[in-house]
Amino acid sequence: MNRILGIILTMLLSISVLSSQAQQRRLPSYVGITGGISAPSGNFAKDDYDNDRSGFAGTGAMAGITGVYYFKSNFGIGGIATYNDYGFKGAQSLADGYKEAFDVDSSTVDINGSNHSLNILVGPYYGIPLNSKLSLDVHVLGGVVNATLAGNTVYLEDVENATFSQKKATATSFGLQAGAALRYSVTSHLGLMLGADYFTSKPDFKVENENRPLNAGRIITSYHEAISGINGSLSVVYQF
Amino acid sequence: MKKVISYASAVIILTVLWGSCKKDEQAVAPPVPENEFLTTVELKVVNESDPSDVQTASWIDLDPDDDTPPDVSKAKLTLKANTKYTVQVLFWDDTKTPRGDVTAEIKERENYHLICFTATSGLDLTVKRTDHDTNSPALEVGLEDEFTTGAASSGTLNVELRHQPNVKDGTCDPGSTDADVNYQITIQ
Repeated sequence: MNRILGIILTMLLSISVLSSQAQQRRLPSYVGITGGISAPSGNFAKDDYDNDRSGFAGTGAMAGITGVYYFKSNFGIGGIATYNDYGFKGAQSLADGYKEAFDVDSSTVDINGSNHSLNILVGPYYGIPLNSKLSLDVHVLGGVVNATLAGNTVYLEDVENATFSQKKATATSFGLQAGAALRYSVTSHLGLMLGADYFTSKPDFKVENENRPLNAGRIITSYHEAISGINGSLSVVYQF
Repeated sequence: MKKVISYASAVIILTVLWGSCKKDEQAVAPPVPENEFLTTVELKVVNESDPSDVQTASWIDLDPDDDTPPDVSKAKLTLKANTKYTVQVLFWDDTKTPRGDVTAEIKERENYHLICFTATSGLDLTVKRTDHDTNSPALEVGLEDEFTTGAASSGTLNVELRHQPNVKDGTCDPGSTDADVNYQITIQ
């Protein structure tokens, strides 16, 4: 994470030096809607039944609102509020694992809900005009991430009263996001943006389980792994 | 350019709708043909007062799917009266060479297996399980036991391997039967 922030700050300095020859003008501020893909990585994206650190998160969608107010110096303050949905990847791994763990003929796993997060982040922006219509907006944001882990219910074939479940779990933590977007001014008031961001947070989940009387089969009672990855976004903004 | 704006807005809206309309997922792990059988159940009994006094009783059914009855010719024990015996219950797959050690698998899965013993009313025999699993609290398993004989008598001892995935509670009621065998016991 520190390396990525260092790279972004270096890029900021380099581009600001290079663009010092460009025509100076106040960049338009904007507010708009954003959406795209969200690709988690690390243990959160693993789907290995035998690894308790697996988060079973897949590449999903993100959507929300974005906005920034630029001052005359091309520095601005802004933020985003987004909903990231990572779905659930690897339900088959769970079904196969529980079948083996309990030595039953068959098992069925129902996933309850999805892995997702609600993110509200603010921070400084720096806009670099590239020409009269195109600019590069870079930002480093921090704020609140409220994340949810999907739950699941496991049915063991031909065994009465053996059904057990892991409940959905929710946790809130501090989150960081850093990235850049190319903004094209369609008109003086309408812009299109194409961006990429790296996001990270590390919520501390307490996980509840139902009907787990025995020491058998995968069971997690807490989850404390980084929720990190890359967002790719397309935004439509109103410029002012 | 208005078309581009419209398309971009549509993409964002469709993304939101796609995320909210996804159905909950379900996965099934289906049955697969077994390649391992439980063909032989043995009781290995050792006289606690005379360790050289060792007997093994075997119940054998090499092909449980056909109509051939099991071989019970060796499913017999002759025990001394008023004596304690250390007992091991052993499970084998004798369709393989060398024989498959099913006992080790049951030991690995002891947290949801229980061996149950039932003596007919005329047989003066008490069975006590001496091993425990790693559940919390720990529950008996029955792979290792102690037989205590009383007065001279005879009868049948039923030995049943219960499979109790996520329902083991220390009793023989929950779950299903993996093996159900009988031994003829004579106490003299």
